[in-house]
Amino acid sequence: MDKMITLWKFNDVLSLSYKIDSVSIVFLIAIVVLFACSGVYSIYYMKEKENLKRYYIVYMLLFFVLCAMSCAGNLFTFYLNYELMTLTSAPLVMHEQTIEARLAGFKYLIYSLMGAYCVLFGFYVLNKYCVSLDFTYGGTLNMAAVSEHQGLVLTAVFLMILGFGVKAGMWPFHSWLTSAHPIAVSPASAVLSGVIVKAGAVGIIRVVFFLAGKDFIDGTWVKMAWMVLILLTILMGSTLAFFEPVLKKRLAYSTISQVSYILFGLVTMTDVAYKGAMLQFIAHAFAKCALFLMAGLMIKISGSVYVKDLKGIGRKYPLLLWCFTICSLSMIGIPPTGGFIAKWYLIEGSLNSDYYNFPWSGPMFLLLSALLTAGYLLPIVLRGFFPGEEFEDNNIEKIKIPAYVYVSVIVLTAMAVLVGICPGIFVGGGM
Amino acid sequence: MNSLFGFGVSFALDGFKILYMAVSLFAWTMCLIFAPRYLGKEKHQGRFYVFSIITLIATLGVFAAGDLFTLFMFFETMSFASYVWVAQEENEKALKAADTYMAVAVIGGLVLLMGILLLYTNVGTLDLASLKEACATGGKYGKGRLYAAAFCMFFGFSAKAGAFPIHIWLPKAHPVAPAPASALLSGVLTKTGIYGIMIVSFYIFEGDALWGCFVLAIGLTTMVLGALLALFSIDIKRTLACSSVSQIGFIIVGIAVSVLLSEEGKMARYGTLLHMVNHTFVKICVFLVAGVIYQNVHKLDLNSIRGFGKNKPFLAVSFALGALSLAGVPGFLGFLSKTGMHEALLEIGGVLGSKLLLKSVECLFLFSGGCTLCYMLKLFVCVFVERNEDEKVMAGYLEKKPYMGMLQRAAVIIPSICVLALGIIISIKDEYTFYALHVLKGSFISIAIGIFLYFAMVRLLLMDKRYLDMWPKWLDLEEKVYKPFFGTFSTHVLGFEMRILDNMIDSTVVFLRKTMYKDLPLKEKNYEGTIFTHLFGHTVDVVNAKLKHEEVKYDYEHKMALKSMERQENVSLAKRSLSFGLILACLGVFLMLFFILYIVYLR
Repeated sequence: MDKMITLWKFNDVLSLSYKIDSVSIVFLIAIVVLFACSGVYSIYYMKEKENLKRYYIVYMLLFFVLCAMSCAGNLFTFYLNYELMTLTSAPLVMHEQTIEARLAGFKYLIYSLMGAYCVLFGFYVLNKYCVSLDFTYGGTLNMAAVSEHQGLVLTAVFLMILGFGVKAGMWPFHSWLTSAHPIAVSPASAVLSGVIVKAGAVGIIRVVFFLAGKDFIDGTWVKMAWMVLILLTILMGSTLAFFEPVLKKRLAYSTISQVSYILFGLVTMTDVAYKGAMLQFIAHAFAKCALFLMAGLMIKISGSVYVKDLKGIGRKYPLLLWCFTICSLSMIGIPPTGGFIAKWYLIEGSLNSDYYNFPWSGPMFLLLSALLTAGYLLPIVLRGFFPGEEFEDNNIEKIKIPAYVYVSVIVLTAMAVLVGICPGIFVGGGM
Repeated sequence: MNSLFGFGVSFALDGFKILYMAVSLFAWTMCLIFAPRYLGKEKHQGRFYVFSIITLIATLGVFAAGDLFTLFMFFETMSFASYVWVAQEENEKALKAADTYMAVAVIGGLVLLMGILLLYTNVGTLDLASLKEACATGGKYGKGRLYAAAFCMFFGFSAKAGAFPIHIWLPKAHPVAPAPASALLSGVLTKTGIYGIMIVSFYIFEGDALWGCFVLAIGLTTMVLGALLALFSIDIKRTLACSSVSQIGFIIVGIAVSVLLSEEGKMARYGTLLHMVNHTFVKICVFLVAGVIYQNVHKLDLNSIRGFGKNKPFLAVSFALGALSLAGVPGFLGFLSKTGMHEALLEIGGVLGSKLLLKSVECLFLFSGGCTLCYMLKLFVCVFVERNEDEKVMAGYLEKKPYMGMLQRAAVIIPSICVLALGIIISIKDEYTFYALHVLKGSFISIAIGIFLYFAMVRLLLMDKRYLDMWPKWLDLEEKVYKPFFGTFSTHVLGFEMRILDNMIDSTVVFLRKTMYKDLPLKEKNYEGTIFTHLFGHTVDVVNAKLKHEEVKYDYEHKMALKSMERQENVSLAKRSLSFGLILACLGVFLMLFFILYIVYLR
């Protein structure tokens, strides 16, 4: 499992090499399941759209690039695939080719490239101060070289966190998410929110835990600054989702906040919280992908992008809304879904850490965010099932949804629950 | 089941758990055999039964759980599944109440989770069997964190139990839920919250005076507040809901007393336990009676249902038995339980420190007991003794027609007979003599207060031929305090600041594009040539005009402009030519040469 496969070697730094480790596996599971499900879903959803050939080619390319990225064995390979991922996913955002779609796509590209350049700077610095750029848990920093230039290396690491954070929707460079998600076609936003956003988180894991090493970051200003950014993001995402009337935008804000849960687990830098981060990673991937797919269906059914028009949708589509309910519960963190177990470990980890006031502020932000999550997701569910006495379901037309679409959504939902019931499958034994 | 849910699920049983699992099963049986006729031809009956069963399983799970993790999982399932009960009717009121219920359930659940995690990180175990020993040392992070944990857990559990200040869901949810559901909500679901409070109090803070006093204060407030609210309400189910709040207050006081008395608190525990069982049975009986009224009249306010129970002795007897037991009249289970708590209450003077405090606590206890009798009497007299003002309606009530089914009769009478039977059996079997004069004194004082209150307050102040609606709207904590406060906070403070944060980068971009990177509009040239030619030519023109005393003509300006354009053309021609480039290149070469010479020779 630890064997590194090198495809091409230019010099010691620039070599394409691949390796599978614990992070890759989690990421790979998410990618494969998500792409399979939203691919099946696309067959139905994209039926009436144009340029299908382009869509599927780009979709498969993106799948390939993501798989390559998740197995990357060193920083160069990772960075290369990371950039390729940005470029291949942009056409999915712009697929509709309207003015808004193109603008959103450009915004996505510009933010992502800006982030990538921050990473590139860090790349140069780390190249000088690391023994090798191969990913090894615990870090590869050359401590003797670093000791004189600690400030520089810390800055570089922080810039890399910030750069990868652009993809992960970390404040302040999160706003591409809320532009790109509502515009992109539903399977594309599902993939965006499910794995591409997580690619940023994986990047941060690689840098912090596999190159710089958490002992190097722990207790420095980088941790402090990073933590503040994450806590802000968590609260901001949930609050704005709470006030957002457009369904897909609400889910996009929710992604901002939920992906920061993963980073929350990373910044805590305890083993338990790391486990929580990995569980949140996979549970959120499944649940949010399913939510976006269902949002696409709901918009098709109700003919409106607003949440308020989804009243009574559970009367005609009970199965759909049940899946939505379970995924929402996972988002909030209600047992027995994956989100609950993840949150349990995250809070436990942060309560065990003794860094500044983090044992108190961390859980409080998480719980406040969970409360807001309940506030923005549950009303959709509750009003969907209980629209009220006077409700007449005329505005909801009955369209025929083929069984395979349901299967794709149910598989994702079931996976989200499976993460909750048997977390040991996903984050290794000994749980 | 070690790796299930990552944490393992465990179950353990002891006397209390088995007792309450049996009581829950009994309660569910009664309510489910009552339900079919009550629901009649209503829509969406299927979901009512399905979610009742899910809630039953979850409730049994809460009582059977062997550790707090398992307990929490079942507790949350129970909270969410029981939402359907409250929202079942789907009218506007029901949905609003259901929203309140959900909000309290979610907030309570999250705070409870925080409490459990604080406890876990502090003492390292959640197993109920080993919790007591682990907490005795104060844990890894000290007693402060233990208090924080216990406080959070208390909040979470009391949200379900209905203790002040989060009792808000009870008076709203009970009237709108179907009667069997209200009976279960009040009779059993609140007890899961009480069970949690017992865990916190008995496992973590056995004998801790500070904790005991805190719980005592909450219990007393809940008890008195619930009793007073029940007096003012003229909706039968809301009265019963407020009564639940009050009785929960009694139970919490009982828990507080047992915490304060620690080892000697056997009597208090006994009384508390009996009162829990008593309350469950009574509430099932009286809520189902209210259900019978509702299924016939479809109204709940006292003025409309007044006189319904005339000529219905079966219903009257069942209700009376329940009401008397709740009020603690000798002979019933309620008398034993209240006496037990009262006797124990008299012994906490040593902990409280002052005699006056003890006396006032006792007074509140007896007063609330009196209120219990008073509002139950009010309901009984209204429904079963008085006649309706509207004679036509009264005639309808007096008509002989089937008003309840056989199964419903069983569901109503069995619990009320149980409280009487249990009251008699336990008082005979138990070694403690309940029927001694000094023991009966408390009960008699309470009954006297109740009767006095009924005639002084209900008949005089709250009635003017009709029952007056004196429900204190200003006491609605949710509408008056929570919603305005959190609403303002979330929209104006949180929402506003977060919006600023959200738009920071985007608005910076927009700002820059509007200022520094603005697309400059193409200037329309209103004159030819350059500024220099314009100024110079214009001056010449003006001077020329002044000298010749003529009007200003743009002669020279035009000529200058033409000249400058010609020059510009020449310059640009020259600039574009090869020779100009060569000249520049030569210049460059020369300059470089000089520079090299300067460096080589002159330095």
